Amino acid sequence: MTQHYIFSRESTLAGAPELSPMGIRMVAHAIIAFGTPAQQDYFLPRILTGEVFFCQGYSEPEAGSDLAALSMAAVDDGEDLVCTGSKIWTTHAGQANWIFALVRTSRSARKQHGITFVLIDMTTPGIEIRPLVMTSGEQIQNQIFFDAVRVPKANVIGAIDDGWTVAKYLLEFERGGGAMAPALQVMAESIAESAQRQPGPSGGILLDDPVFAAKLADARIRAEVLEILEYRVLAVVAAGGNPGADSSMLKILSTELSQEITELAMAAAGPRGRVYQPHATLPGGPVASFTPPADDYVSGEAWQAVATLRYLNDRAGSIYAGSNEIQRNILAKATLGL
Amino acid sequence: MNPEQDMVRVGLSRFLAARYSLDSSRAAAKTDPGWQPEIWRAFAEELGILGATLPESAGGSGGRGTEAMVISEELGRALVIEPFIDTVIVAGGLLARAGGKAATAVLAQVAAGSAIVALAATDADSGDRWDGLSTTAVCDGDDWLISGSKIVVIAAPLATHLLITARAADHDALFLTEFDATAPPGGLTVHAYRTIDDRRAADLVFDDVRLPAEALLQADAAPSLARARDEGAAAVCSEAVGAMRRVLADTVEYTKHRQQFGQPIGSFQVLAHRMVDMYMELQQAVSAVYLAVLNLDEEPDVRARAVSAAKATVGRAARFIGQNAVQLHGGMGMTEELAIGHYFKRLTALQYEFGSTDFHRARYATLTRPHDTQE
Repeated sequence: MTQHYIFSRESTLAGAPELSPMGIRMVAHAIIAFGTPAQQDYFLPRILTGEVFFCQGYSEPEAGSDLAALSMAAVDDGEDLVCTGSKIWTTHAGQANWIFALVRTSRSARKQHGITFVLIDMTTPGIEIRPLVMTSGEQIQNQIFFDAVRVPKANVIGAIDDGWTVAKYLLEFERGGGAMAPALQVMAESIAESAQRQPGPSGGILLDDPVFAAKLADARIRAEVLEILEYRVLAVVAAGGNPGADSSMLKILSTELSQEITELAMAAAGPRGRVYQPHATLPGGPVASFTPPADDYVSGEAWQAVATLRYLNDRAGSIYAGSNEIQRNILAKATLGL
Repeated sequence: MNPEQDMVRVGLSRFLAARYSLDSSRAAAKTDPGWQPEIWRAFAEELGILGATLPESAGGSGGRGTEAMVISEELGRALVIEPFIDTVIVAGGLLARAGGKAATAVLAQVAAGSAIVALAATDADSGDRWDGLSTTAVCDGDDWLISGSKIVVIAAPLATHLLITARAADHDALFLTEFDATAPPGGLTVHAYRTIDDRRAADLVFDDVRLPAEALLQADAAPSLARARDEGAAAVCSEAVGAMRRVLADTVEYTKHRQQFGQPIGSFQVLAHRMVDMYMELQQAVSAVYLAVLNLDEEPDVRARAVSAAKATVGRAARFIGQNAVQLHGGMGMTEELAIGHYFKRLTALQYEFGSTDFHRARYATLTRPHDTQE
């Protein structure tokens, strides 16, 4: 974990593209903790080389915040589980060649029981992907339909019906395992840099506007403090502990701070922030209903051109990986005992 | 609201419900020409709203701020992308105050629905202000030569006429010219695009663009421009109220039907309280619009103070209601599949239109300083 953190931090500071987290940061941990030696031998080296690229199949149309209500059916048929149902909000479903998914193998009074954690080869017959157009116009998320998809039982991680244990373990990595603070610091710093070149609301430069300067300072202070908080949680994990509900705290703080920073960037972009020009930098996915201008004209600098798109996309931060309302429920119960 | 104004409201509301669907208007926005000219013609011919606030001398019906408020709110509720505020309220106001034969002729065309006027007021280096112009106009014989860079000129790609602000003889001057974005005059480069909130707009680069002497509409247009900006801000506040009413209603409805943990999510206290806060933001926004509209005809400082109070209040409400409506819709609020995603983009863009929330707070602070602490 400490090495992951250092790697993320250094990559961010160097401006390297982000790693897709679903393989190396997430499912790999489940395979290490719960996988068989055969599963570990097959998947771990291939995740490292990128030969196996995972997406995540948790949410369903009727099971979002209430994830344990998931109902994608997996019927026992000899060597295989036969899976039928739908997953939604799957990032990179079109690019990934494997998906780790939660499926329903049995029903009982306790809905967490009867869930199974499976790895599914995306080339298996019966899988159909429907891209979703986001408010930014990008197709990043998808809905996946599974129609009698055969999954070998050898691809079950952990025990059949006991996938919730694996999922809960993984969610803690998703929510708090990463190094968000360095990226937030870089984002805030680059706004300060750009605001030196932007006009302020009352004349002069934007960085000298007292209201803007105070908001930016507040964001940067919170990012610096968040980094120390991340180290404190990391220290617990490095000593063999589990981040537990503290990962919920890191998830809330980092996503809400990120939303404020992307909003500041949008404000700094000024009137040009309103121009729709996803071609100005690499979009997060194919862009629907858009043809770039023949001369590739961009109004303003690249960061201005995409500031509002980033703001729109970043609203997902307080929704994904368990909404921030759910995270506050977890903290209230697990940390404060309410 | 008097009975005539209420008739306008009901007529427009019925028209939009029957003829202006979100699907068809978004499809129009994303393909050329980027708007629905037949809707604009109907606004003029069937509803008469394009002349509602224009002077009677130009074929209008001489309405004031209240008419603008009533119409803008209905347009906001239906998320109309056609440039009513830009062409009728802002450009129409500038033309009416400038007066003269040319301006009156264009106004008559605006009222009749045959002219779209775009205002090129934002310079590339002036942030979102309309003063401190770096675009210049200099005399060359009987002509004017315009040079400078205007950004995000809303409705320019569909415009038949341009209003251009430029610094001339130490004043902010206003010019009027016929315009066709597909065949601009020599020296004018047009970069047309769509905006985040599905309007058409353009950056315009003027390099010694030659205009005849009579293109100068007003040599000192600063007071009229200040008023146009305040009237635009007030109308956008009203448009926002219409959009926020719809967004709040949709959110409440969604949370009544969306089931998680065996119950409607609206029954969870944290979400119920959030929606009550959204409701209270909306009610403050409605009140703020009244404050602005009641003061639009007052002295410039009184008008500016009221408009800044309104725009700051509505900006805060649009941010809170927009962000929380997305949050309460969950992932679906992030997509283009429900209305909320489209409304959220408009509620985001309008926070920065005709002065941002921060700009208006700062202007309010300046305008309300106690006199004895000023020099």
